[in-house]
Amino acid sequence: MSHSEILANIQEKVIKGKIKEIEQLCLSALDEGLSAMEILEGGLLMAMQRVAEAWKNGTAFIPEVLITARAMNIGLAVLEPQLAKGERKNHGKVVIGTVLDDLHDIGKNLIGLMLKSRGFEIVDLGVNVKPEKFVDAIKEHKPQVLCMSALLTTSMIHFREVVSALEENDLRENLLICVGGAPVTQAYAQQVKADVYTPDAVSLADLLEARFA
Amino acid sequence: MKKAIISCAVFEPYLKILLNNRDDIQSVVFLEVKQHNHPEQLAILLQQDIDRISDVDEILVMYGLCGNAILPLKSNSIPIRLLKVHDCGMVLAGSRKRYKELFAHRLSQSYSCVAYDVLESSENYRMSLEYLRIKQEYGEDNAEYILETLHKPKNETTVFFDFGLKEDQEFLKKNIGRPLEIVSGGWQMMQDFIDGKDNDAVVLKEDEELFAIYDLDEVFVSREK
Repeated sequence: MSHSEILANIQEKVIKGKIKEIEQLCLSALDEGLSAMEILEGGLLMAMQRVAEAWKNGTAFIPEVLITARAMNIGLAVLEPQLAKGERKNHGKVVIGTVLDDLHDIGKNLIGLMLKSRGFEIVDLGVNVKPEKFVDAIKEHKPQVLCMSALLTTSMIHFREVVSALEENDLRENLLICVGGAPVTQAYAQQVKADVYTPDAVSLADLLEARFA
Repeated sequence: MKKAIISCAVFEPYLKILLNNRDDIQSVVFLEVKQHNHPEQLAILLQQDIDRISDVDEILVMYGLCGNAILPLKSNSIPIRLLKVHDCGMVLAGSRKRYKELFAHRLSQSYSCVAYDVLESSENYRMSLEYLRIKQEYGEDNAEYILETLHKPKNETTVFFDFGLKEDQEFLKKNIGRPLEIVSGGWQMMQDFIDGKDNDAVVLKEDEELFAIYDLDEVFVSREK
């Protein structure tokens, strides 16, 4: 099997969510002489990109995106020891969390999976996160990016509280604040003094990669 | 004053009672429940229904912000009255004050009423077309992963609004064994809204637009364009 056939096979298995096969396929690909970076970019990330594009076009749905993202991360775990040897750059640290009064985590988790696969280090604060917990995390981890999510119109007001708390603690400078979630809009993002709004996880991953890679 | 009502079907069992013998209500249209999951589509449906209505003095739209679905609405000469709420929870509670008592400390709490029929559960989802499609295309392991990720309730208990109707009893029978916190439903906000009292309503006139505040008191307002 040629290298391009190996990568195409990995892509198909990732898209189909064949998690039991992906680990072995990635190891075999390394044995065949492909570098971890080649497998990541030509196999795993390419699969994710294909599904992400299909999602944007309306020909794939959230389950497909989640299935692919999970499979991609299983492959990524196999490659990580090789990638950590310096072949792959770390693009920076991202703190993610769903704001107070909101238990929804699908969008947040998807952001985490996507950004991790693109070379970002993720600090996930979970759901129902109080503003002071965001502040403490920014102090502790000193990330380049903060991503906050809200799915309810009753919870999105907490974006502003977090931004204010960060300003009060002199943590706002050099921190890119991103907000998202179904009811969030570009206008509202500006209103709460966030830097970035994107309508979906893929667009955010593209934007951050372009900015920090 | 002649009125037309466009309402979420979540209120249908209660409006049937409240509208009995009222001659000021010229027409009532109910839109399917859960349309708030597709706010852009809901906005289009609402505007289409609004644009169809004529020969009344006011259009009552029994929706709240509902994921921002109402924000693009426009009045074409007939004023539109909307509920000053985020979603149906406050209406079902009966008043802003009672809603805050019940939910201000747990805004993510799930709630239900008879319109939702049977509560979402893992067993129900396993019988859905989506589950079967995923199982067929991606295998059972992935179907279970999607169930766990997208359909597992975040709260163990659901608050149920009981209005004392026979439909409520049927709902409770269908959902025996589910963890429910049963609270009495409130009629007051619906009654006041239909009667035209302004305390929990926003009126949208021609040349005005809606603007979201997102708090629990104002929620959204109308303002000149």
